[in-house]
Amino acid sequence: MVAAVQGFVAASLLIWWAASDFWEGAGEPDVYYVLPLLAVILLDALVILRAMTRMRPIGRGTGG
Amino acid sequence: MRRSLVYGVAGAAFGLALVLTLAGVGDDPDALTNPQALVLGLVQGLTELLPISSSGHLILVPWLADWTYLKQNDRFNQTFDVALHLGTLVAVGAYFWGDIVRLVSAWVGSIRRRSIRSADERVAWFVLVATIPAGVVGLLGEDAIADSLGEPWQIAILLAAGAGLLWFADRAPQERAMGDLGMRHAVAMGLAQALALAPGVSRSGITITAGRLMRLDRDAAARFSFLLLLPTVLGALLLKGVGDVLLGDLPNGWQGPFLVGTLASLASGLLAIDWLLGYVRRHTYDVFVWYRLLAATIIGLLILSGVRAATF
Repeated sequence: MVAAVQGFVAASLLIWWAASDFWEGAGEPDVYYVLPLLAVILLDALVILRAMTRMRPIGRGTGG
Repeated sequence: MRRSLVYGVAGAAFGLALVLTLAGVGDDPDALTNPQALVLGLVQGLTELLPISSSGHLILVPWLADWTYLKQNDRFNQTFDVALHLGTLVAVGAYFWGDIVRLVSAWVGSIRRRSIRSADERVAWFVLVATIPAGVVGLLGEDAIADSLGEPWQIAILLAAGAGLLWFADRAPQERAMGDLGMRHAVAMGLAQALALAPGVSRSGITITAGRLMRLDRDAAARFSFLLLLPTVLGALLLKGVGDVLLGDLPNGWQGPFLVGTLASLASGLLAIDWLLGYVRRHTYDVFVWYRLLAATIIGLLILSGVRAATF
């Protein structure tokens, strides 16, 4: 799951980068600027979720 | 610096800036106005020292408020930037005056002996070595950075990227003090600091991130970041100050905004240092992670909704 999200983010950035000329030719719609931001925020979410999961493993140490 | 003195000096500086603003001293309606300078000065002091990017916010605030004067008058912008940084430099210099004197004398002593013995001597050399990469990149790449970076959409990406890095780094154990680091760490810290020339990265953010990755405790990472500010900003100030202020002609309408901006950035800078050092003794850096992510998201939404353009 984690690898899939990382791959998706990396692929998104790569496609965005490769398609730069197309976007510029299309008059630079605003979504062109926001796509990489979305990818980075997704990556952040992944990093934070992983750290939180490691800090508090589900099903351990919660019982009395 | 004693806390009462910090608050006294900050209050006096802010009070004077406010009086000058309200009285309209040196205010030129055709240039940057005093109220705008007051806001930008307060923003500079807070954001230079908190890990959230001052250069980014100094672009984002005029972008949000639609203040186009600085964008259209690059010469004024450059010299006003010198004034704002002077305020934060004085704030850091005053707050850490005791440390600065101790480190400089330790550094001079190590040169005389031609050996590094004490922790202070190591820290002094560390600060010096870590300053070199940012200086070199700044000198060689200043124009390229100014030409190709600094658009709001780019700042948003760098704010978000820095948030993830800071989160990750702040999970590292707090095992080391400043004196435990070696020259290898200094070079790495210097390279990290060079990245901060891009608006949105944050000089204090990236150096605190690097410090935490090196397993410095949170207080030491912040203190190190503030000490690193001194030679870096002093060098940039001297370079820009001599070139743009002393040798060049000062732009029209500079008096009021420069004075107000410098005083405001001194006041907010002092408060930011004192608050951050107190805060990180008991908390993680997470609040800055959330702030950066929130700011990046808001910028993205403003661009997507068409309220503001992606470029400025």
